[in-house]
Amino acid sequence: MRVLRYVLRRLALLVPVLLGTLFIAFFLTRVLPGNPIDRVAGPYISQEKREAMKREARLDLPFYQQFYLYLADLVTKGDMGTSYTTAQPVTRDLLQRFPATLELVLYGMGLAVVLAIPLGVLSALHKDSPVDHAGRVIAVVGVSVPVFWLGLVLLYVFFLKLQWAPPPIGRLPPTMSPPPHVTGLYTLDALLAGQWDVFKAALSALALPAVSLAVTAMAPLARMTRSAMVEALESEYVRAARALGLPQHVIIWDYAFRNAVIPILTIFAGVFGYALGGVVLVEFIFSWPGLGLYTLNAILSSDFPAIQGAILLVTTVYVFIYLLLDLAVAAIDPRVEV
Amino acid sequence: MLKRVAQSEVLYRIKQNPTTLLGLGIVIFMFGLAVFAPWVAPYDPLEKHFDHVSEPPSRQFWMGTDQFGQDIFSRVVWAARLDLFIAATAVAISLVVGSLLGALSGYLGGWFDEMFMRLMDILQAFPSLILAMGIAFALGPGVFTVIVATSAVNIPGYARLMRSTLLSEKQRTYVLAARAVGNPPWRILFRHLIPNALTPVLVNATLHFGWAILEAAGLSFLGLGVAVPNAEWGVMINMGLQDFWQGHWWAYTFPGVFIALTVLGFNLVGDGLSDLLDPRRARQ
Amino acid sequence: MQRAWRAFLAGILFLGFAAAQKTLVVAVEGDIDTFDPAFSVGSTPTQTISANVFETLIRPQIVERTAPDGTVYRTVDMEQLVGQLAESWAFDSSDPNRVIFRLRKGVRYHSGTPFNADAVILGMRRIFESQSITTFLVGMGGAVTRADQFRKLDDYTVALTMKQGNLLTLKNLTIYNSAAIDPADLKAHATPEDPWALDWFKKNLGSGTGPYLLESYVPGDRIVLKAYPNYYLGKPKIDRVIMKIVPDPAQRVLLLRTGAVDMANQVPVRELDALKRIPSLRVLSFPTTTQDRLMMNNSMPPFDNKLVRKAVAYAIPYELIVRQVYRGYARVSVGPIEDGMPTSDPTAWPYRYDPERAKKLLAEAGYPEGKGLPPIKLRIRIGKEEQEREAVIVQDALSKLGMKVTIEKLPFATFNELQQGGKLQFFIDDWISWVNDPYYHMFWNFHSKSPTNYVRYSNPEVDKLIDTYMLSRDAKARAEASRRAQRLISDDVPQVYLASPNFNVVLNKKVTGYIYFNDQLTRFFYMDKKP
Repeated sequence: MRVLRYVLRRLALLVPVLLGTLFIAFFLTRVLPGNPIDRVAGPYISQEKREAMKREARLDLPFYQQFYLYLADLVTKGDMGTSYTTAQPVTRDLLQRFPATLELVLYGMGLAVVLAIPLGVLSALHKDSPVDHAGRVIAVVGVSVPVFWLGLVLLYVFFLKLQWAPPPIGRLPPTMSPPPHVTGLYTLDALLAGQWDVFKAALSALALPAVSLAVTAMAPLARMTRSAMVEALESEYVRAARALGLPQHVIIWDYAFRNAVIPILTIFAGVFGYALGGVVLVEFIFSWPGLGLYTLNAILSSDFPAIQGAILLVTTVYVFIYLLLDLAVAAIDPRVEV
Repeated sequence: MLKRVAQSEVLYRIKQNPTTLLGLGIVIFMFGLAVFAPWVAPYDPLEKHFDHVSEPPSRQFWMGTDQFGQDIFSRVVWAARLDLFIAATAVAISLVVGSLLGALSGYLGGWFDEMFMRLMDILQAFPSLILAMGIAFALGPGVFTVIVATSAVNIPGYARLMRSTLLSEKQRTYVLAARAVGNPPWRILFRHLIPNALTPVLVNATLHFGWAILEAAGLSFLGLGVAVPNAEWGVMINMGLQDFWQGHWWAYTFPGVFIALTVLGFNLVGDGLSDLLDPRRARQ
Repeated sequence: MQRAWRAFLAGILFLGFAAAQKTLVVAVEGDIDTFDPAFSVGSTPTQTISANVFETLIRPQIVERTAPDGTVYRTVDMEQLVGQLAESWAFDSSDPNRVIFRLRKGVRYHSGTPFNADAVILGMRRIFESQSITTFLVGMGGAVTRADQFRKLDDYTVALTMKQGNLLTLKNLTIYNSAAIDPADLKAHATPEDPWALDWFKKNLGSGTGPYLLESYVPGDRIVLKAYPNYYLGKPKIDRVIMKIVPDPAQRVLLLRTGAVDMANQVPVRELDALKRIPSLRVLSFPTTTQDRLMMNNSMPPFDNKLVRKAVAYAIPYELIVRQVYRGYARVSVGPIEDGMPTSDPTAWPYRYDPERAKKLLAEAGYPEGKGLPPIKLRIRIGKEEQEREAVIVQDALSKLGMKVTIEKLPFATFNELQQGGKLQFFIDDWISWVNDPYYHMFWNFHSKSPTNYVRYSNPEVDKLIDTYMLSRDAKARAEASRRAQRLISDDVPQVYLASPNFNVVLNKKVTGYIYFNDQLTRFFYMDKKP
């Protein structure tokens, strides 16, 4: 019961934050001249018709009224308006784009974790040795490389030169149909439907973009793992465990690592947010039909409803990840008061 | 804290740490390029050699040429000037604005602090590049826009850092003493609190410098930042992308290497500094 | 045994089906911004769908032409208008202002609704009452301003009474915006607030009479069309068209190279030479009347000074742009009315690359070596690669005169709003007149009352020539007036023509039957794909 109250309180705190982000998105889109009507309508349209279209889109109203009405529609009908570039409800667009980004980020972050944690643990075990220095350099280089440039270099090597990777044209080759929709994650859906060829194609399309994301995300994770492990390994209880003569792997994983998890989880949230931003650049290079590319296209074509919807969704995901990690930390760490 | 570590000791420690030295070397090198660009670069960065379009590296053009026959080496060198300028300005703005606001908020406390921190929550709920894209859209592309967008997303970080350091310093005896002898609040803020909280903020700034370069180049790469044909690393990679499929690797590789190197330099220095100033390490 | 036999049979059927199914995969550049043919103006994929799903009463005749390099290709001739949904059309012998359309019989919409005069009249009422784009086109010169100028004579005959009988209005009616929508759709989706079902038609593809209908649409990913089996000219040869959305032009090329798509247009010109060397591909490059234009706002300094505009016109290295930006897949422009449009007069336009003369003119204008010039911003749209390159060359060329120009890339909508408001000082855009008629072209670009006269050009004499001859049926006088107007415009230089780029399509060699339409939209009906 106390846990539930805590969760609810945290959720309630999110509401003003999300409102604020939406307000900022609204504000930013309406600063510059230019509105989606001009793009959709073109010049061959009468002034009255243009005004009518503006009225219909509520663009003639003062800023705060637009904001209020948008909120009202969102809360009462779950309606985010209609995109000017796809002619579809923004909610439908977002639902369709979101799994693409989710799949990419999951694989990217998964890969980052799989690479970063052993690297960090290894560095900590061999502190100040060449292994440690090498690990540190790898981590710092990883975070210094621009992700969009890394994507290009990977493409040059693995697609243009070696021809191992598929062309960067999205999640599946154009002639292949997506697997039956269950989760929207193509690799998972393909497995569920038993479509091996689709699974393989989806996985190979994921490879380079996921690696690009992973390389930039793993550095802070590895660094935090190392320092947390160093501290844990030097702690009293690990020393005690050593004195008891427990086997090395038990000491490392059951004693030291368990205590290092909390700082790692904490930094994971920041890394995730960075990846959500970086995913725009990765999606741009690999024509990945996800949220990032959607946001970019919406911005470039001044598609107000799409910009608002995309920003709202991205920030919601971001703050929820934060919340989940906080809750996870609270669950693990007895020191956190719930 | 900086004051407590004797200056000679700082130098000694830096010398002991080869990676920090390497970083420092890179940073100095890049600033050198930026300052001496007109003397280092063999050509004007905008000079077009239409007889030498998209040529691979050669003796005449060390890093090849782009689709307008502009010398990539000269452009990469001049871009150091623009990129470092953008990053330095952005870091300076976010540092000054963020720290002052954070200090004020921490000092004043009460409802102002509450409101301010909620605002920072909101800004931090954006993945940084998304917010920067939104700001770039609202202001229209340009150097000024990149600076504003890159600094705006950093402000909350500095504000929080300054505020939390300040809150812990506030309870210390020397502040209490200063207050007891009747110093006016603004003087306590500027004379005692801010200088003492500055060290962690400066370490942060070094790390952010590299990050600002990445962010600015990313915006320009997406076409939301500096315009063509200006010599800027992100713009150059964007222009290189147009010739990517023809295999003209030199057009985007060199600017990318320069970004990576510069960011690496700042990160190494930042890492070294934070190790150096970490009180736990200092005790060892 | 029986089971094996069944499996065998199923296999045969499957193979037979697969062989009969012809799928064309096309890489297109963007999403659908509306499904309503009456309002689609922005995105090419949207327009392509409208042009394949819906049909107009008349269309331009398909003809053969010879390209400068000697290859023969098929295109359309706007001077010959033939029936589409109308079997035939003719000016009424008793009333020269009236045109009679005799409709094709037995045509059914995809939904099964029969097509007849009522459908035409209802469609026209929708067009006029919702003030769609067609009203602007047929309203040129005031020829048609009301829906009731279209009259039903009987179930299969419609008459159109114009203010003045002319061909331009009819040419305007070939644009897909006036396509006939299904009355059943309208009936089913009209609401009291939205009597013309604008909202429904925007979000959903209605049923048409054309050779294709929508199979599926996955925004951001693909649009799939399937053949309409009961099409009145016979079932299309290609059964399915997958329009794969690939916004990045370089990636469209990549798909062609890998054979993943059969066709792509808007291919970047820098890739064409390499694509020509690939044995499985065919590159088609059509000369067009498209113009890349350097636009100088005639009401803003320094371009309100004719001498400055002339200096700019002499300062541009035109050949360099054709070579450097378009790799030869363009022509040096011949003047306000491009080669290929009737009455084009290349002798009217004197401007060639002559930097010395440009310098002199700039000095004459009061800005020797560019001294005293106000700041100049050259605006382009984000994402237009060729125009970006042109901008860089223009910037370089003008800097040699001493004109300092900064390039600014603007998002699409911002650019459009500023452009339509006449607030851009100096910018690059492109234009093609879909209706290949000099008066159509001149009205929209040079008439002081035109909403698309983005440089705020105004010359009363030009206005008068356009007004007088726009709807004229005296071909000779019309041509002469056009030449006169071209000289006047050339002397004023309201805009400078950087190049006239070709329209390039890259196809798999298995794909045949491509026809270049003036609106640059692909008609899949005429195409086929060899196995």
